[in-house]
Amino acid sequence: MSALSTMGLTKSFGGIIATNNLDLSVKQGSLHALIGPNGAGKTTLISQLCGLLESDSGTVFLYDQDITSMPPAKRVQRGLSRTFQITSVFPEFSAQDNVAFAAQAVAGHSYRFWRPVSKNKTFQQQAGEALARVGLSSRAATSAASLSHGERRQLEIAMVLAAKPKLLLLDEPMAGMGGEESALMVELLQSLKGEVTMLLVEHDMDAVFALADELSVLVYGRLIATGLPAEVRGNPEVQRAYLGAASV
Amino acid sequence: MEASSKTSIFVGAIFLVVLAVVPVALFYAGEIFWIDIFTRLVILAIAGTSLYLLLGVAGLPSFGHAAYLGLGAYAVGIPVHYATMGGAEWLASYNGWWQFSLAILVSALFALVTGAISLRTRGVHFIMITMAFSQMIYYALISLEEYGADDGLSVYSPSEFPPLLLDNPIHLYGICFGSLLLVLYVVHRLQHSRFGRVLQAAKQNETRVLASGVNPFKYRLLAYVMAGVIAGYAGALMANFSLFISPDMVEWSRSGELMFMIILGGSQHILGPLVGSSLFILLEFVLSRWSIYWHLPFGIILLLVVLFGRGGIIGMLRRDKQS
Amino acid sequence: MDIVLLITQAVNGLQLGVLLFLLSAGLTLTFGIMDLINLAHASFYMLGAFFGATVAIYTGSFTLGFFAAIIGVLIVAWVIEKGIISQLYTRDHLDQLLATFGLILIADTLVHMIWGPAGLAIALPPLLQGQVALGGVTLPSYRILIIGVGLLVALGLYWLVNHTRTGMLIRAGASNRRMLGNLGVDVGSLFAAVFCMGAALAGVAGILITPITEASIGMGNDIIITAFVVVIIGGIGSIKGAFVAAIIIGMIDTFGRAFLDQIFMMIMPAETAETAAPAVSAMLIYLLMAIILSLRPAGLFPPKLR
Repeated sequence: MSALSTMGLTKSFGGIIATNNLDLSVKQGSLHALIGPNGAGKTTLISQLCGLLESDSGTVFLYDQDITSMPPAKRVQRGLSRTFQITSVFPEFSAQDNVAFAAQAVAGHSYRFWRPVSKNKTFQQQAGEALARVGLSSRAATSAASLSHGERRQLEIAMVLAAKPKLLLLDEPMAGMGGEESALMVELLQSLKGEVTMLLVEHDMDAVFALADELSVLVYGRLIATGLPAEVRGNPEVQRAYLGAASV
Repeated sequence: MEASSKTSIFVGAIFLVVLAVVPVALFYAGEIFWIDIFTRLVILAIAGTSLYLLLGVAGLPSFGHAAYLGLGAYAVGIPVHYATMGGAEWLASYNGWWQFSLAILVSALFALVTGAISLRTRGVHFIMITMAFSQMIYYALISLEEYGADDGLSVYSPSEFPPLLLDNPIHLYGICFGSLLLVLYVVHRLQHSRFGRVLQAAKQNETRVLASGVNPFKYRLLAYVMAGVIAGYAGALMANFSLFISPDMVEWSRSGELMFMIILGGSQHILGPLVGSSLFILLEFVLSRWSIYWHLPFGIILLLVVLFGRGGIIGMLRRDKQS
Repeated sequence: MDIVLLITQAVNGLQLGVLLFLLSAGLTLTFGIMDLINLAHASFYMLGAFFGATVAIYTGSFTLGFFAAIIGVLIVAWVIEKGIISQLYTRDHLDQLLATFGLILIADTLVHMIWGPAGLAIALPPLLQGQVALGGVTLPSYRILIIGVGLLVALGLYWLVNHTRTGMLIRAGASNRRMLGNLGVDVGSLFAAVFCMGAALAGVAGILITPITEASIGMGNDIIITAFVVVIIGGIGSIKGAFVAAIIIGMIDTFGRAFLDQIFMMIMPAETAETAAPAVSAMLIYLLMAIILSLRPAGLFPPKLR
């Protein structure tokens, strides 16, 4: 069963077609990696999937439900969360408060005007667990602005985990990370496999081949190949268009 | 962080004790002039605190907040006007409960309608559109001959809240000061509630709030209405204090002064508006005695505060402690 | 409603629109290119009036006064740009708003100190005092002059923005500020030039209105908000938008004040209409702004590729 699928998804900006009649299917429980050269339309696709960008045509299904015209906030409530290519957290909040907010955001409406959030055991506990999961427990009280780049990435993962997503869209989680930080992130994502379905956009090929159950290649808004990593790696069109004949 | 928040609490406590004791003591010592100064200060601080909810908590720089002071004031002045002059029986009344309810209702409605439009815009558009909406009230009041147009309207009799007498300066001050304490407490609770968290989060990173599963629009709109109601309430108090109201209360430069008070005191702390309005009143008092040209040094101070005084007075106190 | 009254009001509306355009042209450019909200634009309007009126009274020549207004405002604008405004470009809008609000207080008080609390009135030169008959409608020739000057400025700006290198940079800056630095432009000088040009146009508006209203302290502080409404409706950074919006607002405001009571009387008792019409007509342009912004949040002519 596919956790996420698109049919004929299209988006163009002016004359440039960023997503071209795209059919993609992410299997329940898998980690599906999406690769492609710069400008292939990967971030555009992620934004269409999470609803921050409206599609011109085509449909998006989350499990059996058509979510094509669902506003982004509702999609999160249905279990579709994302991270951003440029880390997106709340800089003035502490790490703990960042994650507690993520937990609060999916726990019904926030028209609660009197009780301090800091006294809400559920959110604080969920935040603590998510921070522990990504290895940031010791930094809980630090403001997000003071965290290192790698730590902010981990924090963002903790935030999406606190939302208890069924499906996670990860937009280049290793971008700008050093070798050690990347290795930690790979380990973290590895530990999430099976628990949550993931669509991973990433340039780091080592990470991709270490993690991916399935692999799709996007070039100029079109999927040119999709399948098991080993198959895709051997696909001549992929080698020509993207990986370069000599490498891999 | 701990030390700085202790300093702020300490400074705030001193401010509140001074406000509770000094004007009353001076009044009974025969210096009755001072209580007027303090009453105005406290009313401005209430309005300022409501603006803090928008600017400091939610990051919404409304530049038309004086409109609510005017709406609240006319919600007292117009019923009194009809009760004194006759006409419009359904509206005419000296009853404070009626007038204050009216002030709150009208402010809430105006905030709901203009907020629903303004909050669809961002940044500079938001600033200008809120300013324009308050100018709309200003021009409407100026053209209402029935209510004195730009000559303003005398409030012949203050609101009646038996057994309290608002024409007794001590009673009025007590009500204003009590209201300030209440407003500070309410805004403080709001700020740290789930509701307040949504506002603060949306101020820092709106996209992340959306991506977390919350559309901040309705929360912002509600905050906008709450701030409008509090400011409208302050306006109703203002009408009782000055017993004269005019469109001048709504002019955009009043909104600018309100904003200046918050920036002066510190827009990132709940006591910023109180500290700011105190300094503002002090400046106005000292400078206006010194010269009829007092707006000159006032303007220069404003300029200097904006150019060099980041974070306002409370911000400076905190920086000192941290370094 | 007779046709003569209609035409007279149309001319009045056009005149208000043209004045608003002179004021908002500078605002929309500084807004669009430097990302600066400048409330003190109102002070240039006032200073233009006072400089011009003083020279006109002293020399007896309105023409000399007109040019004195431009030169005087240019000098003041240049000094203020170098001294204060250039510090503000990188600040957030709220800081800009408050700082330029401070400048207004300073300017108003200085004018008070120099010229006293009363306003300065000037008479029109005899040549412009007359009436012009246009197809059975007589119109004051001075109003025609104001409209003429405004249209000339609009044409001049159109040419400047669309057919010169400076204009190309202005357009580039309004749609993408960062690009200017990459093009190797001396950004500081361009900003100063645009700022001073905008200020001078405000000064022109100030001296043009003086024979009708007189120069007075704070005369710009209300109309500046209307000018901001023009900028927002027109689309920030767009000269064309400012022109269209200024004319629309001038017309709506004038016709509202002139005819709304009669329209209201058709649908409600005369007494209610007489109370309601002035208030509603005063609110018309803000209602218009609300409607336009709810349909097009970036205004009528937003610069592309923002």
